[in-house]
Order: sequence, then C-alpha cells, then structure tokens
Amino acid sequence: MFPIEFIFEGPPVSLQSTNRARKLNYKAMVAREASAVLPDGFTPTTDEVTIKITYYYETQSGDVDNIIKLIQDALNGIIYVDDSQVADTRSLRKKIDGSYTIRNVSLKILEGFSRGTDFIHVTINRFVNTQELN
Amino acid sequence: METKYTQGVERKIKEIAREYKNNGYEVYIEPDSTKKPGFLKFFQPDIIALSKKDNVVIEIKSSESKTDFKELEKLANIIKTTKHWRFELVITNPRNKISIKSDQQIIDSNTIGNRINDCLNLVRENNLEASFLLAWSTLEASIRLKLIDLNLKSETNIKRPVLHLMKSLYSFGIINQSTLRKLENFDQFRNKLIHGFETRLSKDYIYTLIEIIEMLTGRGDNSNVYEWLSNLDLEGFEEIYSLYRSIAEIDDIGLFKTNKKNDKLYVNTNIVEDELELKNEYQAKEMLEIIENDYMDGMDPEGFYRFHRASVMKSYCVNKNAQATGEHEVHAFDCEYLPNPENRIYLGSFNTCQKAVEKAKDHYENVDGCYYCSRECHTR
Repeated sequence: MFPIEFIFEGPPVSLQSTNRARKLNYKAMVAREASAVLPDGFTPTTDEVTIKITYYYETQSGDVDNIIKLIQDALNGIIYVDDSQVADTRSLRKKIDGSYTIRNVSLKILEGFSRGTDFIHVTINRFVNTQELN
Repeated sequence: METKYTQGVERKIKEIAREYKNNGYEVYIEPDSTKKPGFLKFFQPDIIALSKKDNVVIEIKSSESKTDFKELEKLANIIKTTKHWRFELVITNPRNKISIKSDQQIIDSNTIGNRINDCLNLVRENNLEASFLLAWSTLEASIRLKLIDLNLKSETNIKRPVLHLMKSLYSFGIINQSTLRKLENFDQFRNKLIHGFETRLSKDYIYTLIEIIEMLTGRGDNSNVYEWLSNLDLEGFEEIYSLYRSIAEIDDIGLFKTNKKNDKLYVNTNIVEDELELKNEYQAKEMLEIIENDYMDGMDPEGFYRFHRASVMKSYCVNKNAQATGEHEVHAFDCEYLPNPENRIYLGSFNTCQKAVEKAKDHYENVDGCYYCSRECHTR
C-alpha cells in the first residue's frame, strides 16, 4: 500500500495559530483528504513511517514554520496508530512559478498543479533503517 | 516558423537536451512519429531521452505558457504503467525581484481610522478608483500592524510583500480561506488598476474591502463580536455548533444561553465571564455568518456537524491508569490529554466515542469518556 500520497489546498495552517477551532477544522480536512486515498479495509499501520510534506505555492508562501505537527497529528489513527511511529519528517517549499525539476512526477502532484492554487503534497512511506546518519 | 514555446522554455529545452546528451542519452526534441514509441502516439512530448539504463519523457512548463495539466496527468498515467520509462516535469520561470526599503514606517492606527473615513467619502462622491487604491494601501498597513500586534512578525520582516503576509494571516488562523481568496482577488484587481488596464468597480466591492480592514483593526459594528469570540477560543465542533444553534434559536443549547430583551440578544456561557450583547436581530444574523465563515469553513451548520461527527473514523485508546475516582478514561488520538504511549491500550477506530467506550469495557468495567475529546461519553 505504501507509499501513500495525497494533496490538499494551501496555504498550510501553522501550529502557532491562535485559533484553535481553525486548527481543528484544518486537521479534520487533512484527515479527510488522507482517508479518501486509502483502500477499503485499510487499517492504520503499526510500523515506523517517514513523511514528506511539500508546500507548492504561487508567488509568495506566507509563514510556513511549524506546519509539520498539525499534519502529523491529523494522520493519527488514519495512516498510523500514533505519531510516535514517525521516524523521519521532511518539509519543503516549492514555488509553482519558480524553476525546478520533479523527477518521477506523480499523478497527485499533477492534480495539484491542475487546481491552479497553492497546495500541499504529502507522501508517507515505510521507514527503512539504512543505519546511516545524514 | 512560429514556435509554441516562450523564449524561456525554449532555452530550458536546449539546456536539458544538452544535459542528457552529456550523460550518454540519445535525445529528441519534439520527436516525430518515427522516433516516438507506440504508447506516446497520441502525445507530443517536449523531449524524449533514451539509454540502455532507462528512458525519460521530459515536459518543460512555465507560468507564462498555458499548461494543460489534465493532459499531463494522462501522459503520466501511461508512463507509470510502461516499463523502463519515467516522467520528468521541469518548471521554469523568470526570477521576480520584489523589494521594500527597510527604513519606511507603517502608518499608525489613527491614520488608518482617518483613511477609512476618506475612503467612504470618496465612495459617496462616486470616485471609486481613488477610493479603492486608498483602501488598498490602508489594508496593507492593517495587515502589517495586525501581525506586529500579535507578535507574529517583527518590525523588520513585516516589510515582506503583502501576498506573503496575507497567507501568513491565514496560516496563523487570523482569517479564513474565504477571506484569503477575497484578498487575493483584491490584489489582482489592484494590479490591473494601477497598470492601466480596464476595470469595473462597484461600491459593494470597496465596502467588502473596508469591512476586512475594520475586522483586522478591531473597528466596525461587529468588533465586539470578534473580541468575544476571540476570548471564547472555541475548540470542539460541538461547542461551535451549540453556539450557532443557541443564537439562531434564541435558546439554551449546550454550554450557551441566549435570551432576548427589547430587541437585543444576550449570549452567556460559563467559558467566559463577559456577556455578549447583540444590538438587534440583524447583528445576530451577521454573527451567525461570522461563525459559518470563520469556524465552519463556509459549511452549512447541519452539514458541518454531521461531517465532524461521522465522516472520519478516529482511533481511540483507554488509559491503563485509573482516575482518582476509579474510572479508566477513553481518549481519541487527537486529544490534548492523550496518555503517554506506555499507558495506552489501543481500542481501534470508531466514528463515535460510545463505540470506543463499549470496546474499553472489554478491558475494564469502570470506564468513562474524556471530558475534552469525548464529552458526549463523559458521565462523571
């Protein structure tokens, strides 16, 4: 089943947001988008996982520190049982109107581009311990 | 011969083709049917690069050219199922330089108030373009002051471009997505107006912009509502729904009591000390709109409640440690008071806390839902 990928509309909400109701709605939205890509009968994994979060934005990004925690929390009980299973997380920003190459571009990313607004792309993989420190 | 490519994209195509050639690939730019494999019959890729190791389809796109991403999805789908082929997407755009001098001061709150009056006077005189531009500059100042006031930005990095700051307002929960989209729309309109393009402006468009300025600066008829809601710090969907229904039905619902005296409505709750006074039913209606937009993300209230109740399964656990009163508490995994991992017994995924509590009884006789995350199941 892995990798699991999904997208949702940006900008992301920051953990620093003082509006608790908005943070809850945002987590519910992330959980909904993640659930929508899962096959019937999927049960949350108990294995260690890695998460890669890429925020694709147009022109300006806004403040995007602390976007990881809310997304990780939202996936509790959906992709994995508990976020203590997340062994590695990466968070990136890419300007839609910038310059870069996407290797092995996925359908989900193309779907994001076709929407024409900022979006966040999340990929979850099983963690593989290479015993190397980078 | 006319080319379908912009200069930037053409340059990039040549650069990428050169790169792949240098890495030992056989490269074809806009390959014809003699060079394309059968599965690419209905597509015209920008570049294909062939080698013994792997083969690549490369598409180069920029924001200047119209890109049909749906077509690209079809292409990516086919390549995904074809062995030894992969798809690369190259995005290329010119760099934009945007800068604001660091020694400039933001206008203060009094000046903002005066400018709002000036904007309204210009609207009354039917001088709409001038009013819009003045309102826009006032909006930028309001956004910057708001972020400084809340200690979310320093005086130094408040000089970032306004589109960055608007998205920050959203990320920090100060505005909702609907307001962000309105602001992006105003930004695009402003660009057209100041660069001399034809525009059509209405008074309502400017009033909407002014309302947002008033909301950001704590002015306007609903400033008491925003302040009360901010102190209330609503959290769960049940609280939000209860508040909405209490005002809509002028009744006691959940933690909220609303009653009417001489056309005014009064809202009370034990979450905050202050009572909220709504001047009349019109202001009550505006408050309901604020709740729908800011707390329900534009959903209708019944839909909002049903969605949060049932559409997403949550994982639950029961605390191995009992409370002082003897019960073992059941928690959803997104609860602020979730026990440490070593103290949890995983119960499974359920769409109601009642089912989770039932399951917890397989482990302990005395169980109860957590007050914060499973309030419906909290009986103590």
